[in-house]
Amino acid sequence: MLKVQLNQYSNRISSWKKIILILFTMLFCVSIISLNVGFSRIPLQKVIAILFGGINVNGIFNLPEPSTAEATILLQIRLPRIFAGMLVGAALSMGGVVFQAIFRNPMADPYILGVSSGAALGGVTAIAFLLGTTALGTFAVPFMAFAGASVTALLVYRLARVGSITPTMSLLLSGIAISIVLSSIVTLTLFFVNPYDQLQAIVFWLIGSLASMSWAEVIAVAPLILIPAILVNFFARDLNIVLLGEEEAGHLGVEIESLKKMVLLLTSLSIASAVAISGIIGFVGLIVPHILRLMVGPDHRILLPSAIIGGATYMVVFDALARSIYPPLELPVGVITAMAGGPFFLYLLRRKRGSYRI
Amino acid sequence: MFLSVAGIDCSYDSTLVLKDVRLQVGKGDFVGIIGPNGSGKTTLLKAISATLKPAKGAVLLEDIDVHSIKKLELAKKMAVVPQETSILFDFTAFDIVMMGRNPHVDRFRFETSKDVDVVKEAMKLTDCLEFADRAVGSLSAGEKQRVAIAKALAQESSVMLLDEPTSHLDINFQLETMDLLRDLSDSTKLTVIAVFHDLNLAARYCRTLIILKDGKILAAGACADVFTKDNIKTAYHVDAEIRYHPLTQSPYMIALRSGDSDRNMSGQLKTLAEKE
Repeated sequence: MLKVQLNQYSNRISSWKKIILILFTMLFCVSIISLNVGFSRIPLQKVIAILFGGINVNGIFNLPEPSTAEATILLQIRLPRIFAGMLVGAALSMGGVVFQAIFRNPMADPYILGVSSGAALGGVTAIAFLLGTTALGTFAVPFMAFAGASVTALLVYRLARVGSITPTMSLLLSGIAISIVLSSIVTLTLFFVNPYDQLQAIVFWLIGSLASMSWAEVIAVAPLILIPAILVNFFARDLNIVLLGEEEAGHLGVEIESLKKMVLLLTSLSIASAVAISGIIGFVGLIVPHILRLMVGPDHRILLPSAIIGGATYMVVFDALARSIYPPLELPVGVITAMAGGPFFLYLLRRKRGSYRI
Repeated sequence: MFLSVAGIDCSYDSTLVLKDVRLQVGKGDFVGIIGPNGSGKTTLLKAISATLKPAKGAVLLEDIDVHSIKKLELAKKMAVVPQETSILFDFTAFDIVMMGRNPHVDRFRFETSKDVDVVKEAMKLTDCLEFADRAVGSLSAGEKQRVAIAKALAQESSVMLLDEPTSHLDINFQLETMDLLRDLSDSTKLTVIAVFHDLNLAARYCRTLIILKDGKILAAGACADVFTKDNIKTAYHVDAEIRYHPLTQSPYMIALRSGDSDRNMSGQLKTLAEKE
């Protein structure tokens, strides 16, 4: 494994750089391959010609001339979709790592705080009431999802608060309770919407899919996911120490309450952005941190960036599968991640039995 | 005074656990806190470490209220060894001790080779370098305790608070740990404040002894003055004999019988003995 031993402790940072480089390379390769996957197969050479034609590799490699239709499919449909997948995967995985650390619970993920459910209710409300006026609808869904997520995060945090502290157990329980209530309100909403267009739109959004993603959506959420994904790394050492328990973390100089506020704000923001464009995609925030933890170890200084890049890769792979398993139909990626992720998670759990206290 | 507990009241919910506790600790002192279960020993330690805010009064470290000191600054001055240390996921013993360097390492930097040296030295002193690469979850309770003490040493603080530091250790490690702490207090002026269950261990190593009873200080002062038959009897309701060991020159006690002799077994034994 890539775990760092004591005798090579001083080489640790260079081995971390290597890990990050390997993961970035994987992400790049997977993205290029996934560009040629879909209903209309575009050969890899053409993919490269379209992407890098501008820097005139044509002359060197004698690449085949792509058609304008192929270029349009690639640049306007598949490329934004792949970027959206990366962003969503990164946001959910980051959320998983942070929640598992802050709540000291290996089963915690973005859904446990109800943040995703809050975003979902916001989005569904927007579709139910505003989608008729289309121009307004495109802005209303992400905006309402943000609103839903942040209001929920705030509400759960307030409910869980006892005096000046927020005990982990009470935070988890409030999160679960709020999440259940919000999910049932979402289900209730389904009875009152137009069954022909709105219902279908809501169900598809709830299942979680990266279909019909536009550049506008990707560009809108990119900073809201990427900036928190960078900032959260500055709290990586605190997240290690928090695993010792809140009291002990305090003795080691961690301001536990402000740390919680800071990292929960950052992750809520990026999770809400992810849910706004993709709907609910489950299991990513749970599986990816565990896979990466087995590969790079538990230290958040390498785990966090690895999970962010690895989560992006994971999502691109699964979206490519969703597009290619049953053509011409595109399966919702949320269904595939859950179906593949669950058993894999159980497999990991059995193999590493005893290492996780659940 | 280096560290002073200035008349603090502490309460959990509405129960008053500490009542007007006053204490002066000099730099480099080795202080043992003893007392029966529920007498407020751990609470006093929590008040000193700024984990618990006293309802009245304050704990002053170099004349500054510990509650007004930023956590990161306080961690440079004061290390705490809790009763038990456990962590989620497979962190190694080395990783845990390295966490003790947290107050000394800038948020935007990695640990330097100096930090690695400090950690190795701390682990060598506590005899846990041999399992540095092992996951903490796989260590025995005694080994974990030594890792916890190494972590506190790595903080390079001037005060160390310990809550029953030897409770999980075998007798050889108990003595080794206590020897180490006293050496540090002698050579580097480390101030040690520790809660003890084992009265003889406390009496043997502590320069200053504090007996707590019902949240109040029953006696405090030099070990020989405090560790008396009468104080033990008042605190624990036990008749004890105090002797001085010729080799260690320190007091030790032998519990003879429960002080409430008229309503228990030893009382019955006594009457039996009298009949014969």
